Amino acid sequence: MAEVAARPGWGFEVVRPASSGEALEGLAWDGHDLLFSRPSRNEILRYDPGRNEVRLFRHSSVRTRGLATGRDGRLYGAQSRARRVVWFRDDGGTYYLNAMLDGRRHNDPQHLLVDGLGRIWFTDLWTAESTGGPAGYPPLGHCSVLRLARAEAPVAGSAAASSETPGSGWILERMTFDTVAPRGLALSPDEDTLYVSEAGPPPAGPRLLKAYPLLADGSLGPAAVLHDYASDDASPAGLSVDREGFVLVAVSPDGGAIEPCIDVIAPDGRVVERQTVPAAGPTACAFGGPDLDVLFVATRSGALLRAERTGRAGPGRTGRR
Amino acid sequence: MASEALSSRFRDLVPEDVVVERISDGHLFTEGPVWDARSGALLWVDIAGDTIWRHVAGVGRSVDQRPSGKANGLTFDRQGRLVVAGWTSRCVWRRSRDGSIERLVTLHDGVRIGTPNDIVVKSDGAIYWTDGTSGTRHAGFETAEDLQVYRKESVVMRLDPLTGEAAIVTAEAGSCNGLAFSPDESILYVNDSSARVINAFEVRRDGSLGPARPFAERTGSATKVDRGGNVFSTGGPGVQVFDPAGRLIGGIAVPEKGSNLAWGDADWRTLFVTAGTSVYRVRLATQGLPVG
Repeated sequence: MAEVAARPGWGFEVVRPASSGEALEGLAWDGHDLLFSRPSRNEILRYDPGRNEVRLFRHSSVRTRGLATGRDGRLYGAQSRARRVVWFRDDGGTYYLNAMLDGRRHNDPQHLLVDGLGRIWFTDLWTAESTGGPAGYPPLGHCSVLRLARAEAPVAGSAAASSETPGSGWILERMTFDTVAPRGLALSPDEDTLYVSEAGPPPAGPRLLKAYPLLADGSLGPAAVLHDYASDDASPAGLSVDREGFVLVAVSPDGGAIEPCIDVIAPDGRVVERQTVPAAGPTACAFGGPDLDVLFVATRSGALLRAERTGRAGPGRTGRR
Repeated sequence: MASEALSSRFRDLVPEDVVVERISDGHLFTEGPVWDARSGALLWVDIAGDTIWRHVAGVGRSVDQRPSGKANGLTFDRQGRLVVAGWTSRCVWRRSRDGSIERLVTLHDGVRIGTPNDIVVKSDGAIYWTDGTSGTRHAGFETAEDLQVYRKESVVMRLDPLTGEAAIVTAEAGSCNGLAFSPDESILYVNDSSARVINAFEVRRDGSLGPARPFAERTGSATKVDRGGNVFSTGGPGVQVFDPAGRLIGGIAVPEKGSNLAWGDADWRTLFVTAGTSVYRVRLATQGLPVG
């Protein structure tokens, strides 16, 4: 088990109380509100911290799990049941991006992020929901981090941008070749490092936080294991980074050794904080609020939490352009 | 045994030596069979394969239309135009005999309609279709159209041939899959494939529908009716047969799970079954209701 120095508690507050069987996932701050998903009800919800109000953002979400906003304000989601990444357009429409990797359908997308170049990185897992539908598409054969990039970025406001055809114009690429159960992912503020959590079934499955360098040719270098959660008998899920480059990890115990928590891990792998979360099964964490200094945590219990005393803040609009 | 009789009347419809013959295979997911009486061909869709296929006995199959917009149910109107439940194209469309395509309905109440599943044309030209919500839920069924479902419940819709207006005629048909008229068009049968029941609706003179009346249970996804008013539905061993009162009188075994049915051949005494990755042909004693 990791030895962690005692730190002041973050003072988690309950935004929404736990609700049995209605796990929350997919946190994304859109600059004003927090978007989060409730896959069991096929809903995406919107929390307005100013009014302390939660409203329905989308129904019929096709088990959307992960959510992420790009710098252009676009909201993307991981429609895990239908094995596709979609763009939730401001006019209420939903359009899918390329879902074929070398002629084969990818698996169930889980968490996703949008980098400074507008590329969408996502973890692609084979789960019990992966029926594949009547088309009977077989599993991909691997569970990897995949990346969608526009074949040719249209200039905003141009005819090409307005007539952009969803489902095409995106190139899907496999980025990791050593993962078996990728869950969360985050980019360092300088976007030079990709962090990936892996959580295979205990005890044999990998339970790791890994760091991959982004190489100049656009590929990922070999992974370094920053933390092995098998030593805590716990599984990591969603990730976030703060503006100093520390990685925040949503962690659930598999045994009795630790409490549900958010770990703060330095780029060199030191566990610098371990903050207990007062709800079971944290699935995702994300900074929000006007100064990006409020940490939101979604949980499997259905509780949505916020903490204003982390002493940390999200990286904001830095990184590559 | 290819068929099982639960009532002596079943043998008037389905001979004891009935043969279930596979006429096409290797598809991703077959649906929407319809007999094209003008060319003597069977059409069907492979939804995920994005194709409308054509089969002519003794000749074989060929691509009729690709891409198909992930089309689902097909039928013909009296003018010989192919009328299509566009599924994830999110519209009802029509292909004229010269090949030109027209979108008939894309919006209702200002938003995109659901995912049109199956479709029939009444003799007065009114088009009825099941406007479901499930089309966008499956990998491989999507198109580049808007995939957002705006109306949560599935409904049956009707396009009025005179006004060109589309309206919801019932929201009491559950998940809304296959649909078929009785011989005199006084009843519309609609499959609820989630609850696995068929509901019957009285068709009023103005084309509206009465309340749902439970017709049959433990049924599959789609229905067609013969000239005697017997209801053939996918389900059970492959195809189930109900008499006009809703009593199960027998079944026909099909090697794959049936998705939809069509009457065909020149005498309308053949039942075609789309099932899984294949299409099957079954010669019967009874005669189906003609299409087109």
